Amino acid sequence: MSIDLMQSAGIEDLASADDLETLCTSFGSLLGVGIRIVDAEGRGLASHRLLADACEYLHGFPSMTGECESFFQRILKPDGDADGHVVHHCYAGLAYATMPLHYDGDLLGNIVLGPFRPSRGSGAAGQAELTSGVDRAKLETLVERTRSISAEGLGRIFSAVVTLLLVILRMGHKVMATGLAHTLSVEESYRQLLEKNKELEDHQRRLEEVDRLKSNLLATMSHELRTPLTSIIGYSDMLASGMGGGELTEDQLGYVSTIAEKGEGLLGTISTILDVASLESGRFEVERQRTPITEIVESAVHKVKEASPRRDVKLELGELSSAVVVVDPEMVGKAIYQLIDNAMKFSKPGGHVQVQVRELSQRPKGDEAVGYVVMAPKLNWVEIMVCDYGVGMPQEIQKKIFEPLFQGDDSVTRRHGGLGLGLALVKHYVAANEGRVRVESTEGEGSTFYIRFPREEEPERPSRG
Amino acid sequence: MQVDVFHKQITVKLVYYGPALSGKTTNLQHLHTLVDPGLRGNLMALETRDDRTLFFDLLPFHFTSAGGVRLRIKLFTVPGQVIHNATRRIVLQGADGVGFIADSQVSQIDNNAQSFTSLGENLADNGLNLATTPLVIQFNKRDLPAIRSDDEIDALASLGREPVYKAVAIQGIGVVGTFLGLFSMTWTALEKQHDLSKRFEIKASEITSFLEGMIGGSGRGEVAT
Repeated sequence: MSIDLMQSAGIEDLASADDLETLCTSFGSLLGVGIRIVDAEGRGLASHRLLADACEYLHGFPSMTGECESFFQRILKPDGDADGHVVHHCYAGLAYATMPLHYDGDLLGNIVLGPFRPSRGSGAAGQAELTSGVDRAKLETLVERTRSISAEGLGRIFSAVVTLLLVILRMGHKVMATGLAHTLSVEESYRQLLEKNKELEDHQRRLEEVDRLKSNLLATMSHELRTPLTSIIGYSDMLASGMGGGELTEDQLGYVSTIAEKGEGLLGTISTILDVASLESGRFEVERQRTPITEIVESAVHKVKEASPRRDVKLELGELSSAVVVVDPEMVGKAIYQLIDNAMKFSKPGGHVQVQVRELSQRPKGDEAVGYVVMAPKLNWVEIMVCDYGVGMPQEIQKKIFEPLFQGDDSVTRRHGGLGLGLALVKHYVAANEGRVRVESTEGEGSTFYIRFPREEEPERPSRG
Repeated sequence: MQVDVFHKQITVKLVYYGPALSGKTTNLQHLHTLVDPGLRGNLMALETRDDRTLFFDLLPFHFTSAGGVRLRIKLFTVPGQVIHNATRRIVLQGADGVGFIADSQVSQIDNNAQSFTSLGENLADNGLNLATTPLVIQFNKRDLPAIRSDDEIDALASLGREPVYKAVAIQGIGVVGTFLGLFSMTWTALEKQHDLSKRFEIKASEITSFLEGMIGGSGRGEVAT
């Protein structure tokens, strides 16, 4: 079944048969005249029949009954072009009046009133040939006994009937529209729920499998690797400090220091993996606060300068915006640190890395212009750019660079170490703070990483329009 | 758009969309008061006691062209409350044009944006594209304190694509302009798509004159530039 809110409705859709019958009976009894309501095709919906004595007299003649029926069928179907009510005179000298019923621009049906005796001068009795045997004088007497209605009276009657009928139809329309909207809404909600349920079931199956694997991995990492590593580092430190019972030679001290240093590096890598795991599983807390973005960037730059072994690469801090963002400063600081650290690693000797913070232009591009006046307050961003002039990367690698464990180019990445988790962490850190990260890169020329966060507006002074 | 060739009838569907209580129903109510009772249908406002639209409002206009073509404009609103998303999606089915009624208050920025985003999603779910659907935006409630300034709206409107109207719907200001702007944009798009003037001998100027005569040119409000 196809139903929609644009469909037109018929009288029978909007009013119950009982209500229409009650309307006909009430008006018919009150006025002493027959009344009938038919649909747009002339099919009867409700009626209050009052046959005039003249009609009963004529129905005694079989040929007249057929004529009467034929006349009646002709007037039932509504005439949509009629302007107001129309009076139809019948063979007996009586009349019927019809009034097309319009609702919301649609022709819904016809109201038929009669038979009644038209006021004098509006039509003559016996306009048609009457069957032989009909006593014309008797017929005229019977016609005279029929209720008379003037043209003005008809106008008033139809006005009252139509008004009440429209009230009934309007109420019915409201109920029908409400019910229809409700039904459609429920159907739509049900369809959505089925889709969502299916998606959820699929997700759940995948998640259960991933979760099982991840739990195993985390348990292994946490226990089998980190625990012994802590011992290795601890004992190395003890040996280096002479707690092992006896001074170490210079060579021995060098070996032990290397063990401790590499152990620390390995512990750092494992911690990074565990960080990624916890971010991916959503088991982490983001403590967002209003912070000037410059503070976070300057702090990250300072830390990289302290820690980076690349003394041959110049780190420059360019344009800095004073914009305020609402982020977790520690998390965002780690992301920026990671990007700058990577840029340093992948720079050519004697190269330089640029860091900039800028507020994005408010000029919308492409489809951003659609509804811009509404969406603009939500599209103001501050962007951090980390630009290096190093090895760069091809297009296909750029698409996967933020995936966990992805290694861009074995020869390069192996030289610099790492598991390919740094950028995955950056992506998670940024996403957790409602930001976006992307990269633009040209092989052999360098890469620029962009992180953007919604810029927090300074409290605006309201104005009257 | 629905076309009934047999009865020479075209029905155009316009939908007023926007966040809860932004004044969509008020727009329709005001239009309803302006139209000659013989030319308008019943305003079917399905409201709850707190003036929230429960399902939708429907305001039909009728017009017969010189060539005997009947044009019906059905103007719908959607319920703005977040929970009625399914209803909004249904009401948007087959929409020929959308009027987005935004609330000018600074406090409503997020709600406007959220509603606009949902408009795009719901149109997409109905196979329609926000970027190509005829759209006008109205910033209503310009008479309230703590609203986004005229300068800000004008500046942003000049960067966006669609006409932006400022309104005080409760006083009738900007209501007619928004409606005529929406209809004009919608008709232009339908004309381009279906070649209506050739197929049905119905001219845009004829309809515009009729609509202007029907609801008057007053209270058009200010158009952001």
